[in-house]
Amino acid sequence: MDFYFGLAQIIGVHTLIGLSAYIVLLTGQVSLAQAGFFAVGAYVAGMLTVLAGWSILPALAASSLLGALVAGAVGFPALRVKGLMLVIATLAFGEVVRLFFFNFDYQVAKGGVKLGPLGGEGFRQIRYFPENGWTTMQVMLFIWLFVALVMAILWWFDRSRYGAVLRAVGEDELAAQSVGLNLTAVKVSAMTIGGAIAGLGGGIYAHYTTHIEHASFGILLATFALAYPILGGLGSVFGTVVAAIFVQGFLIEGLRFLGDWRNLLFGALILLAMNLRPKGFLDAPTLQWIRRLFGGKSGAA
Amino acid sequence: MSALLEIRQLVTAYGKIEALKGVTLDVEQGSITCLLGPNGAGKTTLMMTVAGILRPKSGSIRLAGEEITGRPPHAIVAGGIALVPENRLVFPNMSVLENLQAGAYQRRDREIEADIGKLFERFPRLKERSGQNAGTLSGGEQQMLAVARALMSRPKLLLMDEPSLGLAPLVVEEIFRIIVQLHQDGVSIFLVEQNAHMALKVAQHFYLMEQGKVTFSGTPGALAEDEVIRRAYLGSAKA
Repeated sequence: MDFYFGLAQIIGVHTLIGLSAYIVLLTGQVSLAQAGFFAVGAYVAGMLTVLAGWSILPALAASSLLGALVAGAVGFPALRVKGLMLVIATLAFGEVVRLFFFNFDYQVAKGGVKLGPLGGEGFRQIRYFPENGWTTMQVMLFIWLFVALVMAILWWFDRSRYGAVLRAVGEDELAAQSVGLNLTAVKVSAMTIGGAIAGLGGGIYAHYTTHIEHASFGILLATFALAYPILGGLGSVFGTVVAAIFVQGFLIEGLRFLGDWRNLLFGALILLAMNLRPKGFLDAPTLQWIRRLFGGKSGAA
Repeated sequence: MSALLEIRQLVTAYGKIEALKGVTLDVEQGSITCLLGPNGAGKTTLMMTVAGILRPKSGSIRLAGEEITGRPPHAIVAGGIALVPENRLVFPNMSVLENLQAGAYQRRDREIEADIGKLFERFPRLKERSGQNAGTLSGGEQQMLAVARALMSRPKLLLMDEPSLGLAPLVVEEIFRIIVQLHQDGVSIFLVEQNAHMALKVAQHFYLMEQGKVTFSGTPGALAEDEVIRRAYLGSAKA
């Protein structure tokens, strides 16, 4: 059973980083910086529990806050450029963060053992959960509590005026300006919220793996972050979780029996999924169908 | 009494190329003022500069006596100018109703719903389609929606950039009927048009812009009398 709990942990954390990209994508911005915010969160939360002896909840609050601050600071200059330029700018930022942690040493001796980040070696022994006797299932439930919380907040955003504002900017920037939206404020706010979610996800990730290193926060993670909301569909937050289950649960774990052939099939299946569901797993008709299923009103979505 | 919109020596450049080379014009309170001109004259650039989307290099724009030059677009909308952009630019994947709500993003009052109700009375076809995605509307309906969306900000001045563009003649007539109605309701309108025949029927004052400069200013009568303009914009037949 622990295997499935472990898998659910991975899916939960990947859903979080996917949701951090989701809110930015709503404004029409493609950001490869989410892995960078995730890395910041991971290192900050790890250092706070291991070196400063903080409890997990304040450490996650701090990692989320720092993720938001960094994202807001990056957002201001980065969001002045558009489209492919933004992709490259955010990619560059992600690499800067990764290389920072590649070079970052901050070790403190605790009970005869040196603990803390050690450059390319990474940051080992982030043992808050085992030290406090959490079982795999408890950690899994803890993670999904946060996933549910973030999804609920984003779902509520989506139904509010703020969600409409984000989508308006994503649909047409000129039209959004002509109805009086402040593009910079809208984009930076989405980036900041995305950074908070990624920082939270990183903080959780550091604690369930117990060992983090720069290589985990590269372009691959940044690509996954974008892939979930795009694959799942931008119509609803639930698309992102469906896609994370599809990629992490089915494509990566479910096909493990195929050995090295899996990697080849992985790409082919993603292509196939995108061709069969060009607007995402949960596109507008599917969402309406689900709504009807639950007895809600169809029509105005 | 000064004009509602006063533009003085306005210069807007794309890099080194000046699209507006010192434009001066007025839009009177309660008027329909029409800006004519060939493609590339700078008409859309002027509209975008007034709306704050483009920043002028020099010159001044005043709304009801207040300097608004260089303000960002959201401040301009808040100040009372709404732009109906060229090619309509509705939010295609949002419903008609959501598009109208978008027009009121700046507002915090409680009359938004009532205003939507009034606009639905004015544009019954939008009401019929309120739940439909704006991208599925016909060109004329999208233009109505773009106008209605702009009105949601309760503007003092409505800027309309070529509302007849790409619409069938009957639909163009309908759009101009709407423009006249709005004018009768007291909305001041600054209109960019290439369709001089239609514009002649509704506007009280005309400007002609060529290569970034205003080359004519006058009443519809004076416009129709001007031999050169008549040949270029109205065909050789007497209007």
